[in-house]
Amino acid sequence: MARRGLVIVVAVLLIGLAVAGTAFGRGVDEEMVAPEPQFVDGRFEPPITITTPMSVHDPDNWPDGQSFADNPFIWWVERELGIRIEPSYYFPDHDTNVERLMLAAAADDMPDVIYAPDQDIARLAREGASMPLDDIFEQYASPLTEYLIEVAQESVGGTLFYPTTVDGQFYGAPHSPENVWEKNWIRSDLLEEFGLDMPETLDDLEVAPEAYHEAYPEGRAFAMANDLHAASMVFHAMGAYPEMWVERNGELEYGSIQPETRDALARLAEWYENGWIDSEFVVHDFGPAVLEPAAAGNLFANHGAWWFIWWPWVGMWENNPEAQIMPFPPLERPDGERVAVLSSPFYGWSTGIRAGFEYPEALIYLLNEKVDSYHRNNLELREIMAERGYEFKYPVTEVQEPLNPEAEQPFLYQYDYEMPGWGFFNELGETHFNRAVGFFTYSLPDRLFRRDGMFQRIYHAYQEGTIDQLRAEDRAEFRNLSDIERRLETHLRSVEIVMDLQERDAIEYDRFLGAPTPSMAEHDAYLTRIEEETFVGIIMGDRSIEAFDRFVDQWLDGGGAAISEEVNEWFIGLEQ
Amino acid sequence: MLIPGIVAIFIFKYVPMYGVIIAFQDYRPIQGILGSDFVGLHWFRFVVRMPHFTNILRNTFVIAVGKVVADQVVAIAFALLLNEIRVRWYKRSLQTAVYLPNFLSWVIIGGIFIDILSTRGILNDFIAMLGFERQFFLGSNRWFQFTMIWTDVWKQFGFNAILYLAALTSINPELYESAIIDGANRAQQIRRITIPGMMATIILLATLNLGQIMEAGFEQILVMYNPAVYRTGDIIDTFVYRAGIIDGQYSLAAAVGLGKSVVAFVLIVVSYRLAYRYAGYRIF
Repeated sequence: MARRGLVIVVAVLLIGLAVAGTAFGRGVDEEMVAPEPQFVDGRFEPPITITTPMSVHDPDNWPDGQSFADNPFIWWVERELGIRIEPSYYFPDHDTNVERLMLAAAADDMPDVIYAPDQDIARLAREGASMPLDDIFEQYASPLTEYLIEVAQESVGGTLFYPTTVDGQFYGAPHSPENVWEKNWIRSDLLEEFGLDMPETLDDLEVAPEAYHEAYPEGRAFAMANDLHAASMVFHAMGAYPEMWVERNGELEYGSIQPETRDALARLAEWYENGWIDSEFVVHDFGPAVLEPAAAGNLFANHGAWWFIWWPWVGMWENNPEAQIMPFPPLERPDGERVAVLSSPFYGWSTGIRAGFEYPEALIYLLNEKVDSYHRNNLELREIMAERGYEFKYPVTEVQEPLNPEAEQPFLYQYDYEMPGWGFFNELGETHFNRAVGFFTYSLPDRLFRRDGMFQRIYHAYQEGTIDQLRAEDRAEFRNLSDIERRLETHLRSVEIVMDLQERDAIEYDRFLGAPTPSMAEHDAYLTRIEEETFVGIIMGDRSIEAFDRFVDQWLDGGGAAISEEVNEWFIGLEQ
Repeated sequence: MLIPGIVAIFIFKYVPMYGVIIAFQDYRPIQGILGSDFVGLHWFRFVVRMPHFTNILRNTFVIAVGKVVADQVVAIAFALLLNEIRVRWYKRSLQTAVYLPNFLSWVIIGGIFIDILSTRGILNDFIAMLGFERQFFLGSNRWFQFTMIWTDVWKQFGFNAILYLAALTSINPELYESAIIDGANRAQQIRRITIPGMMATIILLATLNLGQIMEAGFEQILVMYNPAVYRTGDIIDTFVYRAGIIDGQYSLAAAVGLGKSVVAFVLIVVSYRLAYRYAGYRIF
């Protein structure tokens, strides 16, 4: 009896192993029988399929019956290029996307198109999960695409592909550079009330929260979340650049361990001591630290993105008819300069391709087609390209107005979809469609080439009183901006500041733009922890300023020295 | 009849265990488990040499032990008290009320506690009313572990108490009757009858909980901790989350997870032996 039991157990184990075994290998490919797709006359025959994650920001904002997976762009791509686009998963926000992507990578089940922050693209590249793009671009990019990349490279000093370059090859094409605008914000109505001017130096600025704190002890004089992001206003004004790399004596050094950062932390500790920073900022992230007091009109100064005009400032404008918040340019540094220092010339996100994808060229064909259609009305560019022997596929067409210009949102515009190409969109920047798939048209070269985004056009038209001559999309944006009068005022000032910085060539970047080095991933969990706990501890007065010196030693010993070495290797490689 | 069960357990519990191999590899998802390079004990050495390893271990241990002890003591005490209540509806509604928090997730409870425990929150208002100084429970290293343990007790004790109440109902009422006849008062009844009657359950739960000694409560701490309390609040699991998920160091995360499991396994075996030797109690 016992032996029989043993036999059964062994049999069960064997069956189990057999079942598990099939899980290791992949099933037989069913498409083996179908004919191999060929790209003939600008089209895949039979059509191929590309899977891609899709963003679902505003799920209701679609014209009747359309959706992410089913809209004129999707129809057009299939009809014109023989490329079927299928969603692999939907994501409501960027964090979720990255999480899904990393799990998909761990399960070896990635979408064909990868859309992720640069450092994740680089990580996937190191793991062999994504594909180097050099050869693919070289082989398949049309002369127009090549030219636009050239122009883009010129405008960012040749750094276009740095963030996703691993071992000499690049793995992702970056997105728009325009999203990085960050602002110092301050309540201009209260400044007036206190009889103060817009601050120009940190010393000027310090008068303001003091006055505010005295008048409104319950308010947030300087709203800051526990990521210390808003503290950039103070850090940068003192020439301190934590979490960035700075050049010192021909070498790159980590900004967080520089003496300027030490001084700035001491200054922030004073602010905290004075009650200008919320005593509990450390338990609060962006929502309770900035959004809630802002919406309640209970916030005085902050540092954050230009798009705060859409939220949270709206809450303040709605709740308090007197309140006005205005951006002001970077404060004067100790060296007398007023420059904006950004972590990257790019948005920080790139598009890449999964390793092993059979038709990577399809995405380049798609990009070629998109830029051709998108730039077809740019006569100057047509001329340049004619000299280089490139003929546009799509003819010059009239600027298309939507069929329903009264629609509330540009997403809801209906166009004449029978137009050639995807010329039915005049401006690809801000529709659902452009998020749909593949390399971003404007990410690559377009915005950089034209260098005059929608906001600048609106700004100039407003100054000249020619708003009604703008195209429908720009007019719609103007309408949205001006439905709260104070928002328009704030945003125009914002645009003005950026234009001034651009004109003065006063925008600088983190000196290390490369992909994260191997040591960074290995030591990040520890190094980030000691940095955060030291900085927060010093600001809150839990630790003395000497803790900073210990942190510097710990950082160097705990992997920071190795990271610095790798970063400098990258830096030396640049010069050669 | 056992066969389907054995097969299911084998397939779903044992086959996936081959995944622990990645703890000994430089695992790269795309190359898979079969294709990644073996690096032996590299990750175990890496973890042990991490400068803050002892700190993380100590935090985990202190918070976990504190929770195991406090959870059980409070639950036992509450069960004993509830057992003395004679008004049925009051007893029942009290029991239901205290075990409701068990069904809420830490994301919700964490948000509530961040408000309650704020220096401007009701708890501190109360403390200030009594004439003491306000305390920053979630932002001070002096209080953070204490706060984690007692918020966990608040969430769990009602549920744990149910197990003890169940144990109490199995005590023969005749024992109490004869004790009363012998002149025992309430306290003596509890000490001589109720507690010995619960002993088996107490030992059972204590033994099972020993396996949890490395589990300081990932969700709870992830929701409630912040940079100011890393020194006392960063536990093994939050570290694994940051290194493994955020930084994509799968092998490192797997090595730490495996190490935790081995420790928990050893503890369970030891406590099982102890329970058998000293209490004569066999769980399995």
